[in-house]
Formats: sequence, C-alpha cells, structure tokens
Amino acid sequence: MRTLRIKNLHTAVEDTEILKGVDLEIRTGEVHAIMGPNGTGKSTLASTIMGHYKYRVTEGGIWLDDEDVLAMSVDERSRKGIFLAMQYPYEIPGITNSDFIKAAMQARLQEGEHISLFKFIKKFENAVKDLKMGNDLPHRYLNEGFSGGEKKRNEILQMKMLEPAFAILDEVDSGLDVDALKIVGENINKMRGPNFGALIITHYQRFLDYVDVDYVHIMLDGKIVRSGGKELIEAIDQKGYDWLKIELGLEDEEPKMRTGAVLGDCAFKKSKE
Amino acid sequence: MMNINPRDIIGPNDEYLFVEDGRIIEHSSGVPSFFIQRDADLKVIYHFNRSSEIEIRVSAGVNLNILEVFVDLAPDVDVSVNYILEPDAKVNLLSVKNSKQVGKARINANIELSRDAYINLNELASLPGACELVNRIILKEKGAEVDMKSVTLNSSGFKQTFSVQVFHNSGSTKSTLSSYGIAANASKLKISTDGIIKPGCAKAEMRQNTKGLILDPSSHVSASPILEIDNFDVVASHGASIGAIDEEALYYLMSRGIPRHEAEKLVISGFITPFLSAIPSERLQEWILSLINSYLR
Repeated sequence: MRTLRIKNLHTAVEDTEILKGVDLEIRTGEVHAIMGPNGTGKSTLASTIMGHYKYRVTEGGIWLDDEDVLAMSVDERSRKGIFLAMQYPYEIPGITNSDFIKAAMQARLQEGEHISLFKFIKKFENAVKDLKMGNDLPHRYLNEGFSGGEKKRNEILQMKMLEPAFAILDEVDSGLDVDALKIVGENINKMRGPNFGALIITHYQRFLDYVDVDYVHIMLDGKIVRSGGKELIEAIDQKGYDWLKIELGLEDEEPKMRTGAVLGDCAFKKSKE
Repeated sequence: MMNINPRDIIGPNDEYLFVEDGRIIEHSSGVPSFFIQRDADLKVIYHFNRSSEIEIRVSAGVNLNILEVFVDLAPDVDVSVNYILEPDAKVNLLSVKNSKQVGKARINANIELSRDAYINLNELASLPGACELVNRIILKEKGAEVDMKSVTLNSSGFKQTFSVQVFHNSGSTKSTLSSYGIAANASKLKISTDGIIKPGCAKAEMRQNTKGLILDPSSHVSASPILEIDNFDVVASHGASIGAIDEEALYYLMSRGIPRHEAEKLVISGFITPFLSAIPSERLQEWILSLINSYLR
C-alpha cells in the first residue's frame, strides 16, 4: 500500500495565496472526491501536487510514502507514480499520440531497456477501444483538433497506459456528454485496486454517480473544510455550498469585491457611511 | 556538429557520386557525370577544401531523387551547387549541409527551372561558425514550380544567415517556401525570404512561411520576408512566427514522466514535423531526426 500525504499545504501564485493549509491523505485502494465552488483552490491543489512552475509552495509539504514530493522535478513525480489528468489538456502539434505515450513509457524503464512494440500497440489498441475513441488516435497529433470530450478521454487513456499509483483527475467530467461520462467512469472504476488511488476533482454529483467514491472532501477558501462519505455529495447537490459557509462562519468575499470594482472611491466611502 | 559518415549513407546498390572541390572523384557505374539524362535515385557526397562551383543539369522529362550531403567545408570557402532543370524535369532534393570545421563558409544554390519543371527541395543545415546559406531560385517559364522546406539549426555561438530568393520570371509559376530556424547556445540566426514577381507574370502564386524557435534566452532568430509584386493577378502570402520553447508544452510532457531534455527534443521534432513529413523515405526521416538530436545535444 502506498500513501500520498499532504500536510498544511500553502500555495501562492505571484503574491496571492490560494491554498491556505490543506491537509489530506490518500492511500492506494481509495478513491477520494474533492468538491467546492469555483475559485476555492481545487485545481491549484492538483497543479501543486504535479509541480506546475507557476505555483509556489510557501508552507507545508507533500509526501509520497516517505519521499518529499516537493524536492522532485515534475517528471520525477510522474515516474514515482503521480498522474494528473488536466482540466485543460495542452495541444502539441507535430507529436503523435503514440510517440508521446511511447516516450512516457520508455522514460519509466531502466537504461538499456526498451518497450516491446507489440505489447505497446496491443495495450494502446485496447485502451482506445475501452474509451471508444477513434482508431486514428495513435497517428493524430497530441490533442490537436480534439473536441473537449476527446481531450478528456485522451487524459484517461494516458492514465490507463501509464498505470500510476495515484491519479488526480481535475474536472475530467467537464465537456463530456452522458455517454462519455459513463465510459470515463467505468474506466476509472476498472482501475480500482490495491495499487491504485484516485483524487477526483469535480463540481457535479452526476459524475460521481458513475465512479465508486470512498471519501468526499469539500474545499472552501483554500482549505478542506469538511470530509465525509457519499452523503456529502447529496447534501451539496440539494443545498449547494452556502449552508456550509454559514455553518463554518465563512464570509462570502464576492459582494465586497464587486462594489470596489464598479464604484469609485467617493461612492464606496459613502456606502460605508 | 552532426557526425556523418558518408559510407553509412551509401548502400551497396545505390547510385552515387563522391565530389571533392567540384570534381567527381568516385562514382557508381550508372552516373558518371553531373548531367542526369535518365531517371535516377542518386546520392552525392561533397567535400570542399577550396571555393568551387558545380552545375548539375537534369534533362527534360527526367525524374531525379537526390540526396546531397555536405560532409566537410574548409573555413571561408565560397561554394556553389547549381541545378538546371530542363522542361518537365522533376527533382526531389534532400540537401544536408554540415561541416566539421569552424569558419565563415558560404554555400550557394542557384536553381533554374524551365517550363513545367518541378523541384521539391528539403534542406537541413547545421554548420559551425558564422556561415551563410544563399538560395536563388529562378522560375524561368510557365508551369515551373518550387516547393521548399528548410530547417536551419544554429548552435554554433555565431551569427548565421539563411536566405532564399525566388524569382517568378513567368506567369503561371508557383513557389511555396517554409523556413524553420532553431537557435541555441547564444547563437543568432537571420532568415531572409524574398519573393519577386516580375511584370507580366500573371497567375503566379507565391507563399512564404517562416517559423523560429529559440532554445535559450541568449539566442536570437529574426525573420525578414520581402514580397516584390509587379502584377495584379497573382496570389501571394507570407507569415512569420518566432518564439521560445513553450514551457506549458514542456510541463505537459514532463507531467507524463518525460525528462526535460527529452521533452525539448519532442517539442523540436514537433516543430519541424512539416519538414520531416515531406521527406519521402521513413528511413531518411529517422536519420534526419537523429542528426538533429545529436546536433542539439
């Protein structure tokens, strides 16, 4: 069993603190979901775990088993077993999907070892079939000209090929129709096992109808504020997030910001009076 | 520098020429001269110890596939390899320009195309020193066409210039130029593309595209496209884009476990894919890519 442990994680982008002390522990064999309104730091958490250069950790840490993840480069984190299915997968023209995945799989081998072309092709074909993607996928350029749904399914395909210990799925459900949601959910469920853990970031309960989830966490204002089981999903779906904000005494910052942006100084002073 | 061994390029059944300072010093039995009078697949290896000029003439109606490789150039030489395509000649030319010696070599290619002649020219240049590459293409008569893709790699630490001039001297002629330049190791690369459509040359078509990739903050790529058009009834376009290697692209590749230097190689190969795809043989494509990767290592 492996563990991904996040302790008191604070992350900033330029001078703005986005994560304000995240604590989370995921073990292989578990599927966790993180929900929360827009702008609460869910994708920032995902990008910080993966090591995106724009995000600066200012406090706290991340450990994969006993190893310090923050001391690893992006590619090292991946080779050690972390995978991020991105919210906005990047398009890279001129590189075919198959060359890309081959390079990623080759990077995991010892020097002098080479992947078996036959096994690679077989595995790739099966993954394409499982995700009901086109047979021309291997020869298409990486995400170029893909629809939103194709890009998300391509992320899941890469996950199936690379077999990580921990997969962070950042809003893979956005842009998917009902049928595609079902296919993606099924493929994630198929990967469940003692050697695989997942952290699913989503807004919507609907996707979580298709994925077997063990733990649910709610993120607000850069922190995980509530953890529980599937009952939390239903509560959010029925009541939204306001009840939780009220219960926790969290102020909604939006009205202040809106006023400051629309009115000039004089009007703002007058409204305060 | 690319490590090219001429004997690796030539297979046992290949037709070939070994050329030193403009003279043929060795050749296969079927091609004894620079005058190509029948269909051929030819490999030409060049060594230049002094300034020289060569003219390769392709007879009317002949189809020629030619791989030319410049293996070595003495510093400061001024060499020309010129092509004359007679009417309806069709040439696929893959030109690889390399040298072991650092200097200020200048390599010229003057290409003249007669009626309905066609040249598909793919050029890879990776030279040490402050070198200059000058291509001059003249579309003399109606139906003449050139399709040129070039990749210029400069990690010499010096300034290099790559220039192409295409003259549309007749109507109903066509030119398509795609120039890719990569600069690394504090090098500067200037890419100049001039397209000239003379008066009276209606229905001429001229398209130019230049792309530059800069691999480090001290390197520099500039594009200087010029279109001189003296007729209203033509099609002409040009575009240029220059940028540093995309960090988001690198991050995406690295997030799949690919080390940074391998990710850069992938991005570079993606950058020049239009050039590689135009090379007809997969074996040659792989060879070119391995040369590029070894040069940029």
